[in-house]
Amino acid sequence: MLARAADSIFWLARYMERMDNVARLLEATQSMSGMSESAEEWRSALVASGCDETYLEKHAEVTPEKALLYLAYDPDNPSAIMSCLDRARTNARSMRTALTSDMWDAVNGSWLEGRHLKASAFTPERIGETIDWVKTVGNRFYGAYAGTMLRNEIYWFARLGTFIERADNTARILDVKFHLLLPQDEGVGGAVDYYQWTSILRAVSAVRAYQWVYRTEVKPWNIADLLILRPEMPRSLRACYDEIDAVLAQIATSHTGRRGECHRLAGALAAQLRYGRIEDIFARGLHEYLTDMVERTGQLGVEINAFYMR
Amino acid sequence: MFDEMYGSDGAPRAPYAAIAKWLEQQPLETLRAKSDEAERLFRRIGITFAVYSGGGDTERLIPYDLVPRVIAKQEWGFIERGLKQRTRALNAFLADIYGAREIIRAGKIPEALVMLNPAFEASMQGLAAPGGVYTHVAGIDLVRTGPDDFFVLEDNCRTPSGVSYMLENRAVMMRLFPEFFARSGVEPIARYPEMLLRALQSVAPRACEGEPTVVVLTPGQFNSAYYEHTFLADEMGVELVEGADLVVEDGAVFKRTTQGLQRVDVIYRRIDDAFLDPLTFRRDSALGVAGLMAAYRKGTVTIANAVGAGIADDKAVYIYVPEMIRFYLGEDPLLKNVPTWQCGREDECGYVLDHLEELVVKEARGSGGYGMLVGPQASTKERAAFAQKIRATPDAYIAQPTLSLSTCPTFVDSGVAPRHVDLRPFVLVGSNGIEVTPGGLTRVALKEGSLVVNSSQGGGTKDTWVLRG
Amino acid sequence: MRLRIDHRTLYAYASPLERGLQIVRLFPKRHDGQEIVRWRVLGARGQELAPFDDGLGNEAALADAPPGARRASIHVDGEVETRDLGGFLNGAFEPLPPAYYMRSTDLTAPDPTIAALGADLRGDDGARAIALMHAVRDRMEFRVGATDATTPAVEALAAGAGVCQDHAHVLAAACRAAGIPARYVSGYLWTGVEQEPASHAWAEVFIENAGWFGLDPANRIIVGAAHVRMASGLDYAQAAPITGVRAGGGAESLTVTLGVHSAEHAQQ
Repeated sequence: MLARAADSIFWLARYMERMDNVARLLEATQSMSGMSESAEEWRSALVASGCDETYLEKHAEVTPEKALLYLAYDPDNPSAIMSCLDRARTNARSMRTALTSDMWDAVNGSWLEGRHLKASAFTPERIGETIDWVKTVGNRFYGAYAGTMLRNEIYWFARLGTFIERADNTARILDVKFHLLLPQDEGVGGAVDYYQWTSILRAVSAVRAYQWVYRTEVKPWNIADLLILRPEMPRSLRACYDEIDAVLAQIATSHTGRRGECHRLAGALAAQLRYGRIEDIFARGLHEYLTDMVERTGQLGVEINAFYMR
Repeated sequence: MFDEMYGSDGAPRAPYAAIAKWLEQQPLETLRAKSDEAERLFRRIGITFAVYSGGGDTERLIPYDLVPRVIAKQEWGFIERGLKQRTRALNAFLADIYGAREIIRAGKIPEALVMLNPAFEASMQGLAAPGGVYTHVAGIDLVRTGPDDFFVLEDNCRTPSGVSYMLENRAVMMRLFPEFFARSGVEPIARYPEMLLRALQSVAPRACEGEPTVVVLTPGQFNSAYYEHTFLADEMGVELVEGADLVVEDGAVFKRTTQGLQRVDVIYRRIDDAFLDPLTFRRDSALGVAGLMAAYRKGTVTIANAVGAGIADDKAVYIYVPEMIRFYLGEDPLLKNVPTWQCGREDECGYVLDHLEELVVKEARGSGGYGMLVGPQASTKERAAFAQKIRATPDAYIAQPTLSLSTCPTFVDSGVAPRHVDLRPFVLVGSNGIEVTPGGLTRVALKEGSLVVNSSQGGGTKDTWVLRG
Repeated sequence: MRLRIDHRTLYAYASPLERGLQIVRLFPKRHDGQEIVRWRVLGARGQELAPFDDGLGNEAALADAPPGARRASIHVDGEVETRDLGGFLNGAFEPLPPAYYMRSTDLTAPDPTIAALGADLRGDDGARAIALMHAVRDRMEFRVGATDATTPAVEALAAGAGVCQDHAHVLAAACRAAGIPARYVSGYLWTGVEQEPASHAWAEVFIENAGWFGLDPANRIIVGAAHVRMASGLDYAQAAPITGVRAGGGAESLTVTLGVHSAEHAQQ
């Protein structure tokens, strides 16, 4: 397939995933902000979305209303929910012939609906309703994507986009939240506020999953284990990299075995996660570990682009 | 005024007998409901065209009229012969002016008209286009003024568009009225993409081995005809590429794929000449492919339509097409030209200025119905303003008598009423011959009395039926 | 006159190139006043560039720089035998008729000032063209840096200064305005043993029943044996020795070395 089409489908999937991630993060932040010092919650949401710096260029201080609007709607923020949808649609449109009509309908139809949303749909009072809509959009997209696409290169590049974005998102949220709730000098075994900690799980829709896996009260150690190393948790780094590694191998096989740096890097990351232990991660420093993951995930995106999309 | 459905005696003409009866049986509410359904279908498929001016909704639908336009078998036979003849002559003309220039030497066409024409491309000189084909796709606009009177209004030899509407109109028609369509005996048109692919493959460079790789080259998703580009690529099963997807290496053209560079043999381009290659044409073009002209001249790739083919559809060159038919084919033209005055010629300009109230004045190098004066429908003030423009740059204008275009029944707010129409049939030229898809795109001026059918000026389209018997 | 040319153009890039492609028009063609003794043009990898016919009667070649390259080069190495034919170009390959060279381009579009240069001139086309050559040179001193490769004739004339390219553009525009077909020519000029050699540009005008006639307005001379003719077109854009596009590479620095030597002088 065309290198540019691979790039477009990759970014279509990334933006749809990002839209979904930001919506979940907003929902979790919203539910927490009633219970704690709310500006801090919102600041961490901005950091987790990687847009705290651009936010502060525009606004002097962090308020729930402004942060909410910035994360959900502001066209100046390329990662805002509505910007993601817009960019997803632009990418879809530039390679329409490669999409199934269901997929195109899912993106274009949602985009057409989204155009009717005004800033007033992104106020604290109405955001819940809007987030429900965004989740429907995400599910509609995944439904069409899983249900109608041929399992060929187009599908694989979409998968790569989804899981690279998801890995990046999980690593960032975990890093920011741990930093907020557990300053460096405290141990990880201490008593913590249940609601505070479940907010991490809520941001990645994993409250129920936690209970299934650990059947015990919420502990920071287990949260990190779940979101980094557990293969059965669909948003864990391990699950993402298992998928990325497998998809890259599949693409290589279909291309008469041609491999590059991106395959090596993905393989190394997948192996590290497969054989990693949570105690070693904490011993080395969780923040360092996650920062390294975010960086190497970014590098993987660059290598995939260099190998397949130019 | 010639109405295609009703004769002067008020009775329906034979080809329209079934349509007339069908229309009588359809309650207005049914037509209205079907018309709404058609609009929904078009919107869902995403057939839109981009409108550049103004904010807001930049993607609009071209109105679709659900009453088909009908052409009888014999009528079509004549039109088809005329179109093939004209297209042969246009190709011969292009081969000649980029070759030996016999027609100029013979004094049949003024040298300056060709050599000073902006559409003449020196970089085509001496390049023998593969298969001798220059206008792989030609759209020849016809109007009808009487039972046997068909005129060519203009030739489109660059990148004529509209064929996706022709095909989608038919698909929607068949979906809305399957039974009525099935019993009407209409020539099918669905093979167009396959015919286009075959024509394009037939002109692959001689050096190409195996099945030629064809691509459709688009300026991108912000182009007004982008839908059509995706449609054609999809229907032909070939890749839709942008300039940045192609690269010239070792004198040949390649597409960048996830598996590295892959050779391209034939480019069906929907980009204007000026933007094709920043190394030969406009330096600032980001849409084209650097080195493409060099590859073309080296004979490693075919460009369709050929670069420089636009000279054949220049409105001043148009005047000489009947002469071309006689000169190259030794035949008399079947389809008539509309008498045309060139404002650039002093004697003719005076006539035009004196008769503005009866003439249509067009830009010699424009398209899309912009910058056009329909004398009889213009106000005195508009005519005076236009006269000034003509005096300022007479070369830029040509004038023609206001033809009384035929009318067809059309579904409008008040019900079914006659509206003026034209026809753009699509002619495909390959190295093995010329094919014409039965029918074409009928454009209709939806405003009562209006003669301007362009979609940018409030025109709509219709399905066009060529009857089998 | 036997002339030897050694012309090297070296490009260095601040960062690796993503891709670079050039059109090179550095191939002299034979005509009655010019025989090619030997000629080759080498690209960045030392490969000999294979020319194609560009439609205007010139030979051109593509030179591509490999992705990732930090430098590129074009090396011309050749020898020609020239003869002075009193300015007339005979026996050349002429694919286009003189009428084509009445076209105007962005670089050679006339204005009233350019049109006025030839308005009052009398005499046959040859005499008027020579008078125009002097008129152009009178109004434009030779000064490097007053213009660049994209300066149109009207601006160069208004500035009253320019290089050979500008003189040729203004002369071509003025001749066309006076009804004489004219074109832009690029090539080399042998300027004598002690002089700095240079790539050069001049003009040719078409004189009915006599043919194309070369005028070098920068030097106020009729083209002769010191001129090596390479390419012609309506303007610089059509006849430029090297034009390119590139992606990546950052800042570009350019080094040109050129030697045009007379073989006879060298032997003495």
